[in-house]
Amino acid sequence: MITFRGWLLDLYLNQTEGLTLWFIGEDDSRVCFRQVFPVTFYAAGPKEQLRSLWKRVNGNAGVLGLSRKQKQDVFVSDPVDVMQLDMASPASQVRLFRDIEAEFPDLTYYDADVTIGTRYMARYGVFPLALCELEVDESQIIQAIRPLNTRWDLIPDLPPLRIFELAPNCDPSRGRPTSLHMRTDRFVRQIPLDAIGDYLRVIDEALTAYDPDIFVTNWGDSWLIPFLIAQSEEKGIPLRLNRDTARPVRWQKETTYFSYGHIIYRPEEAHLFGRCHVDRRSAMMWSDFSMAGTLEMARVTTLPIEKAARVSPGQGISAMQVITALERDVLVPYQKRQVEEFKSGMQLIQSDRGGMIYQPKVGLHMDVAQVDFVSMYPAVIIKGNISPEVPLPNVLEPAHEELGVVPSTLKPLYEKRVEIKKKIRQYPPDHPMAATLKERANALKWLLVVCFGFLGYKNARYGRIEAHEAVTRGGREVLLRAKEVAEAEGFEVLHMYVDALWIKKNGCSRQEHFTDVISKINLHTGLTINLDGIYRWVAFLPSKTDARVPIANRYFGVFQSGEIKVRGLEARRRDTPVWIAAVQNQMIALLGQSRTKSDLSDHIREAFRYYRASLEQLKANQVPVDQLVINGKVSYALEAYKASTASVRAARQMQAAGMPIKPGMRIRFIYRVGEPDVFAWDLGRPINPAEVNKAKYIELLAKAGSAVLAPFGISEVLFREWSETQTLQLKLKPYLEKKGLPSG
Amino acid sequence: METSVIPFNAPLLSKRFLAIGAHALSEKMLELIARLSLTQRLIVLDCGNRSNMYSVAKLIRPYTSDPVKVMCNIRLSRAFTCYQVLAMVQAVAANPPREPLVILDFLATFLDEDVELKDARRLLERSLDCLAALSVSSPVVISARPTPTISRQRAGLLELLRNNADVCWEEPHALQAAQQTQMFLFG
Repeated sequence: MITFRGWLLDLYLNQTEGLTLWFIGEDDSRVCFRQVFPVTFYAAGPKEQLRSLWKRVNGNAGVLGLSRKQKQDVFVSDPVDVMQLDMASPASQVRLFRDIEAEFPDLTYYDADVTIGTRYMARYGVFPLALCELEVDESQIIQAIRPLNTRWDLIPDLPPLRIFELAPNCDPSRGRPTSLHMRTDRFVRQIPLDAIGDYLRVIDEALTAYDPDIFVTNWGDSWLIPFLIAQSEEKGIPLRLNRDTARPVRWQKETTYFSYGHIIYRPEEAHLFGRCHVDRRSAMMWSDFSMAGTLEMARVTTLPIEKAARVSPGQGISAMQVITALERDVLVPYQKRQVEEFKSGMQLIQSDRGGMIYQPKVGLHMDVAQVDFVSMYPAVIIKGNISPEVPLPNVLEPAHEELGVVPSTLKPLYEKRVEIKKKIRQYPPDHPMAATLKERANALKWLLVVCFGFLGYKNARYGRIEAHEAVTRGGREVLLRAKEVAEAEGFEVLHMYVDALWIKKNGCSRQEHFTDVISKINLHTGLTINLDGIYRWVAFLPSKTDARVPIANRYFGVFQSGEIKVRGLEARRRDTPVWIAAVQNQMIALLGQSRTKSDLSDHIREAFRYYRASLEQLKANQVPVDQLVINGKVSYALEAYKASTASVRAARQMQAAGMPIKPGMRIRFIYRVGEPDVFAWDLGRPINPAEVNKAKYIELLAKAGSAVLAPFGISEVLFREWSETQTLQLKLKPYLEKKGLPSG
Repeated sequence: METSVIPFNAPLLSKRFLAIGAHALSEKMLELIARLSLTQRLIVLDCGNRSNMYSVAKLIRPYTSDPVKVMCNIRLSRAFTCYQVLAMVQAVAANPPREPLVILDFLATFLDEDVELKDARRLLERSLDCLAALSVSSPVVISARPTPTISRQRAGLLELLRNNADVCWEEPHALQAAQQTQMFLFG
């Protein structure tokens, strides 16, 4: 027996012992062990059906034992009678469950589809990148394992990961890549994609020599790995992408799903054995939290690194709740059958509400403070002990002492994020540690954000609609209390939006002017509220269709630090062409240079001049076509569309060219003159700049520009007419005078 | 308010009534709920997130001085998966009520691709058995929508539902088409 210390990198099923585990040793070795891992699942239901099940499975291969037990179902007050099925390995459990589920569909199953990583964490406390101490026998079988750190370590002891990046030199859907860019901490190479396939040898040699832990690609799932495998087979040149060379790449099917009002398409995924493949283009949250955030997500959720990089945070929260349940010896339902309690029509009206919104006072406001509750909904869940299995709170007062599954799961997550945010403040903003901590904090933020939605999600194992409603009820109460405190302190509340308030008071423009009101809000709500910042000025925008109607969460402003904040404008929308977003951002940045109301006029003029120059650039065909691409989306199968939108028309062009279109796919296109009126960008064919429909882009630019100038009284209609014709005279002077700004 | 919002003869008999139309005839069904609630208690099972009680409150407001009391005549529960639909129907059938049962967008959750078709069919069959038993003692009014193109392989579920109804009314196709662009012409 030997003792080994190292970090867990990868864990997967094998058909003989049960599990294969890869570790990074403290001596920088990469070691593979196996482990016997029996698992248990349960069935409940009518006695005669359970008896039939007993007869059916007794003596089956892989069945270690059958017994009758009483266990706790989270949705049932008394323990339930269940049949316990002890299985020799996870693989045999998967096989048996698949069979009996088909044969006994009316039984209720528990712990039947818990992932292997989650089971492992619940049993040994070991998670991805956990530092562990192992006892291993001479056959490389793990006999004992214990973690030496926890998921909640603030500065975890992480292994020195070997990261190998490989990317084509262009977007494969736009053109044919001619070379691959390979990068590690030891070398950087550009490898031409030659006809004889030398590049395959180069990659294979580099993989063998460097032996990476993480294989980072661009378009690895959708193009690079399928291409490399096909070329390797065609040319007969071996390419060992897996560290476990006995296995081929595992492909996870493409999928389309609905998430937070959006249809999302996820392409087929390439998963490796013994190392992890992370495709930056498939990694859902890569732009938010990059590698450090991905590793943090894997550690706290126990999802494999490859999965943590790709899936929505909801799956992470779900895994964490299952661990909490397993650790408490509570059953994990396979299919949730809990239904909403009956309520009257009146009760539904009272309970089925969202967050509190207090419409903004449209226009320009100086010296405004924005105060935000820190992770309000998670804090309400924890404070109110809101969980599906415990009595719901009286607004914010918990009705049950012991924390339920959901708040128990969230509490350490919430506390870790708060501590990481504190730690960030200990470093200068440009310190590399600050950037890493921010990425980790972002990963935790997303987990906290989705936990509330997950309470109301149909497939959430520990979801319950009443609990979901209790959270919004608590949130509304908290915001109302905050408003009352602010007003009692003499502040004017300009806007409230779910967990934030915008407040101002004459003579209050420095941080210390807001300290008292913040302390009092903390005291009266029991939750933590922070000063997000003090705006030099902030502009709340009206509706595009009716200037008298305010729109919540549509504003822009500049903090005293010079940081600009924009919400609800074109620049924030994913479908806005990058050039138009850049023009709008630059106009706001120019306005943001003004420090006082008196010098705002000059900057409005400057922003307008910038707009005019941009308009001229567009009219003179000087904007690169790729900067005008619109990032649309199709939400349904194309045949389901009765009306044809620009995205659908572009998608039909792609379909006609033999490209498969799936609901949720992003469709990039350019507006063009004549027929067809759109040009699908991913067809990969060049477009002549003269074909671009300038009128359409002028309209889009005018919308973006007028949103910036609207708070200064310049009407969108007039602005658009001016942009389109330039035969009208647009004089800023009268508008500035009307707003009480110096007109020069 | 229109007294005959869907062409089923009032008072409703103890039968299974099925109404099929665009958007699961949401507006008409809410009008039916409002009409029934003015005079009696009823149970609503919402299987497609269609129970807009604000609309019902607006509809009843001109006809009562005590809208809160009338709204309390409605007892409602929502299901978000077909497993929950079955559990909900079974729960109601365990203590059969005397009041009418209105089921909104009954098939919505059975079209969920996450649930295999064979499982969806089995759950639907069992739910229909419960509804058959319930309809012996009280009227059961069910709404459904035509099977969307994207779920065409599940069209058999609507057929199964149709075969299990005592009275079936389908919105004319022309009207359905019109509703795609201009909804809620009833009342």
